[in-house]
Amino acid sequence: MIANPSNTATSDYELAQASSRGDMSAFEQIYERHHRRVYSLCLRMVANATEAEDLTQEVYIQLFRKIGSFRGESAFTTWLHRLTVNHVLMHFRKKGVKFEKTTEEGEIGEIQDLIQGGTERPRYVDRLALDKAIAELPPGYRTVFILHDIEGFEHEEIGNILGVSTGTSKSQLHKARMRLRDLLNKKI
Amino acid sequence: MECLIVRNTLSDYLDSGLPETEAHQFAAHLTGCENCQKLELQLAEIRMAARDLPLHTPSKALWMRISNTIEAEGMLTDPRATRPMKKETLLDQWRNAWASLSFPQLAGAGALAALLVAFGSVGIYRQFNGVVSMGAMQTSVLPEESKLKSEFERKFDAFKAKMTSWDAQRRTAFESDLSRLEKSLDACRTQLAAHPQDAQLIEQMRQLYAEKSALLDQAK
Ligand SMILES: [Zn+2]
Repeated sequence: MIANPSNTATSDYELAQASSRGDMSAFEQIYERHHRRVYSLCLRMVANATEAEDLTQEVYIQLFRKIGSFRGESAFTTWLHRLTVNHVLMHFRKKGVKFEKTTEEGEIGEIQDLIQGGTERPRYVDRLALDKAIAELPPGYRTVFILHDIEGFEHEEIGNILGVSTGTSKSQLHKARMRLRDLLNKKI
Repeated sequence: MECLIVRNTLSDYLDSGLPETEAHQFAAHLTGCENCQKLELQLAEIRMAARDLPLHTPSKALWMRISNTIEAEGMLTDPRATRPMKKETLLDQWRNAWASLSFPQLAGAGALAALLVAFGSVGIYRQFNGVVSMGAMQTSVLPEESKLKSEFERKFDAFKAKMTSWDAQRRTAFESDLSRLEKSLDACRTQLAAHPQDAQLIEQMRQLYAEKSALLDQAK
């Protein structure tokens, strides 16, 4: 039994093992440690608080079912975040969320506008403003941006998860960043 | 190298995804081109900021919902763990869940107490429909639930007209509070079905109905 809540040194792996034996206090500690990151990830992906809470709940229930299969080979956070991403993507599929299609080449028109627009650059990127701007991105750009720039996934991985080519992932990421820059500049 | 090419592949450059020679050409262009340099800085800042965005916090009742579902679905195999949560924790969680509502808190505890007494005393003695059908969510495990439910519905019907004048933000906040309460009620009901004699759970159900009602009062 892992029952001592003051023992912060207890590893995620030990807590996972205890949880898989039905120790709810261990599972609660896992929840406490990671729920804000899981919730934030869900919230950024769906941009809706109620939906994000539902998804977080589903993720943790799924986690409880699968936790015995965590072998400690990768970091627990990586494992949990992958589980979360897959769950949210499945939710998108069920909901019929369509990701916008992009070609692997840039959209010349859009780029031309940028050159002529000549908008001033923000002095710094306000985190809250960026958080809001992410919510305004179209779902496909948003997903790639979250996975790559926030969660640190590689393009190959993103390609595998989303079923797109590495080139598409790269091009969507670039467009997401460009769009975010526009959104941030508009707010200044 | 042309500006257009630079602007199209700048993210690759920032993420060190360009072959060495191309990266050199890139760097050379950036030194001599103010516009592209500006863009590079902006994208780099976005990329950096993305790494330490603020974390968001879900409502306090979420853990309760999760643990209830785990229990209700019979996923716990260890008999010692079938009732994992301490009573103090449960109560604390409900208290905390209160604090997470977006609408202003009840004017005073007195108002709640009055509501509780009103709902509780009338309900308990008037109707006891203890025998229940098996339609999961609609199963009434709290004796006076159907009464509480219809009282709320009546109040809510009278209330709906007012909602039309609300702006989207207010409406969303209200709807999300209400749906959170509904979910907590579902979770509580599920748990009560497994432990029908649990006085604390019964009390929680009543509190949740009082909260729902208070939500309408405050939103006026
Ligand atoms: Zn240039």
